[in-house]
Amino acid sequence: MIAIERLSKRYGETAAVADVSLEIAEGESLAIVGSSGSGKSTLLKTINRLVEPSAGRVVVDGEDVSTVAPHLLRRRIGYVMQGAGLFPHRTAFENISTTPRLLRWEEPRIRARVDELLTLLGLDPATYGPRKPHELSGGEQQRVGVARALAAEPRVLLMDEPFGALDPAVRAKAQVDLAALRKRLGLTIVLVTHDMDEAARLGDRIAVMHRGRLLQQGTPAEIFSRPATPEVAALVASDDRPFRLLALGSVRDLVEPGSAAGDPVAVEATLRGALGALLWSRRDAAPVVGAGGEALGIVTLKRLIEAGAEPKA
Amino acid sequence: MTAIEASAAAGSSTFDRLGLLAAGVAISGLALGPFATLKPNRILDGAPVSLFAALSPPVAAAVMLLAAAAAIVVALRTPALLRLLAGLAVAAALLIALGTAPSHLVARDDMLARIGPGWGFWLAFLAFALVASDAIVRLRLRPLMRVAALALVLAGAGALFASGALDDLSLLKEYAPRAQAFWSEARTHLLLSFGSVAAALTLGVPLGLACHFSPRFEGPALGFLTAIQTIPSIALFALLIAPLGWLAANLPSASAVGISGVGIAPAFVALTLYALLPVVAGVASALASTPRDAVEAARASGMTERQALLLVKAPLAAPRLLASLRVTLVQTIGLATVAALIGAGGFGTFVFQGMGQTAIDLVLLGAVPTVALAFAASVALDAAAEAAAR
Ligand SMILES: Nc1ncnc2c1ncn2[C@@H]1O[C@H](COP(=O)(O)OP(=O)(O)OP(=O)(O)O)[C@@H](O)[C@H]1O
Ligand SMILES: [Mg+2]
Repeated sequence: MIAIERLSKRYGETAAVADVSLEIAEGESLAIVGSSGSGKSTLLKTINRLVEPSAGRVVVDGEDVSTVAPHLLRRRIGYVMQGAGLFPHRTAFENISTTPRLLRWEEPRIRARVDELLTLLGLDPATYGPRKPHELSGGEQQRVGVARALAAEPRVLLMDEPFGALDPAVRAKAQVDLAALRKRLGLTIVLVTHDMDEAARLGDRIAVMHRGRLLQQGTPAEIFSRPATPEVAALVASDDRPFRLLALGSVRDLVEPGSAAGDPVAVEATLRGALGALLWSRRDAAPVVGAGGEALGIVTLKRLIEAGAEPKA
Repeated sequence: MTAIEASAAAGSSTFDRLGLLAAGVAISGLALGPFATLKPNRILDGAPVSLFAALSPPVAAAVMLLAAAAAIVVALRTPALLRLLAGLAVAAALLIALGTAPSHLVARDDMLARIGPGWGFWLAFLAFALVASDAIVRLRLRPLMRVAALALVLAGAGALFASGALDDLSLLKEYAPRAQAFWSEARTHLLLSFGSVAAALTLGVPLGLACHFSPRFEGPALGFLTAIQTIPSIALFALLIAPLGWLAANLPSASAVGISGVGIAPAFVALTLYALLPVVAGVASALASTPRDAVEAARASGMTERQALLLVKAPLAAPRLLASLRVTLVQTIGLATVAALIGAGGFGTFVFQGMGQTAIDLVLLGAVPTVALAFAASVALDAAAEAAAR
């Protein structure tokens, strides 16, 4: 559990972070979004003391981080940055084994852990382990960066625009992989991103920052449907806001009794997927089926359109 | 394609530009310039002697044939190894041929006459040396192989000198009566240059680290060292004579370890002071040049400042560190010649003696080994920097 309490950071005249309080529960993932220069990175880095706050404090697992030696604290907290930031003179294997070595793990344990992580991230250890960073693609470097952050089995992972440098296809894959990894390892994740879609996809909750202040925090659906301030509204306002909202809901929420013709949609599909299916096949309703193919009812175009509209005040 | 274009294209693909130029320079130097100069004694001006006058007909013909054949090899697009061998073979042959000139030109009992290379010889020799060093670059030798090649060339040159084939040349005639002094000055020169660079490293690396970790310290420190750098070397040597002389006069233990106003001590101190700026600035800028991402990653991975320095910054900065060490060493080897002026010894001794006697060959006896030493140090450290960058 991470608690950020009334935290501020000033650089001379500018307040990079101003009086921010936030809590992140065990196993939760929080996405921090906001315009450029709004203080996202600064806030994130106070958690592992890459930045020392001017006021306020950060508590991790009940312990005020300012009472822990920075290097010891950081060995317990994974950190991934934009562009991976691999050590250019070290192989992928050596990069990943950095923190375990600092912790003086036994050699066989290090080897097993690195191999496990490379495999988990879809990189063959024998092929990729001995490669230097310049022999890896951007996406591969990023995965090695994630593996390095996870090597010492941290329970908290901090990520500063981890996928910002990747092209859209690689990025989408990386997001799916991260979500799976998180489930599997039960990680607590704090993720900084520019990309609202990424925030909605990876964050259980989203925190919106603007000029050092925390404007709003809440589930993606709350942020999209009820922006608290004009700044948040501006951030989430865009032509495809309805589709983002629909992408967050599942067909289960809108199933109603009845019958309809044509191909069924799965009850676990997103509302966005169901709307797409109806639009494409020019239907007003589609049958809904469960995981075993059993009929559960129908979903209608009318309700889908309502679900994508701005909530009534 | 027109005929002109065709021949131009063919021309550019069959000829090697640098080789063509070098071959032209070398052949015209040998054919038109003086191969040797003949001086009645060591301080008079020399008279030019052409290739065929300086050498016996068979030797002259052999040199001309070999040079012509090698010129064709290097003028055409040929494999780098072949070019290297051609360049080295002609350079060696020219030296050996020049070594036969004295016995051909002057009587055995004429002990005063001096024979040295003429500018025709120099043109040809340098042109082929250039081709050889260019061929080494083209071979893209690994750093270790480059050092090995350097050692081979030095060993070959050493063997040539030791063989006695060149003993009658003016340079070696200056050397012969001073053989003992030459090697003792060589030792002094090595001690002065490598010793003061080592001292500068011992002082400068901690200072460079201090600059790196404290920007407030960096400005004044580099400013002070830059100010030292601007003092002309002779003035700095002279400036040090007084305090060290005072030290020697007033502190028995200082004079006991050999410190005195003139001689090695002030020269050593001055050279160390000069070497400090490139060392300190080199360390500070090399460390500052390490990628910020990598340094942040080092911290974020849980390294202490010390571990980040040793495990990440230093290895990433190593190529630049070695490059600045190379500059420092070459500068110091050259500057150490000036130390002879205050009685410190070194190769400079011969340079200044020669200047005093207007005996240019004696000047060369000091200058040539200095240049060779600087060149060898430069090649070795360059190779080390490249090896560190891998
Ligand atoms: N080391 C520093 N010294 C001075 N000012 C800084 C420093 N680091 C950040 N700032 C300032 O603090 C503010 C917040 O910076 P921060 O890097 O946290 O923004 P960000 O939200 O991460 O922006 P981006 O999305 O562009 O990465 C900016 O105005 C920035 O200029
Ligand atoms: Mg940032």
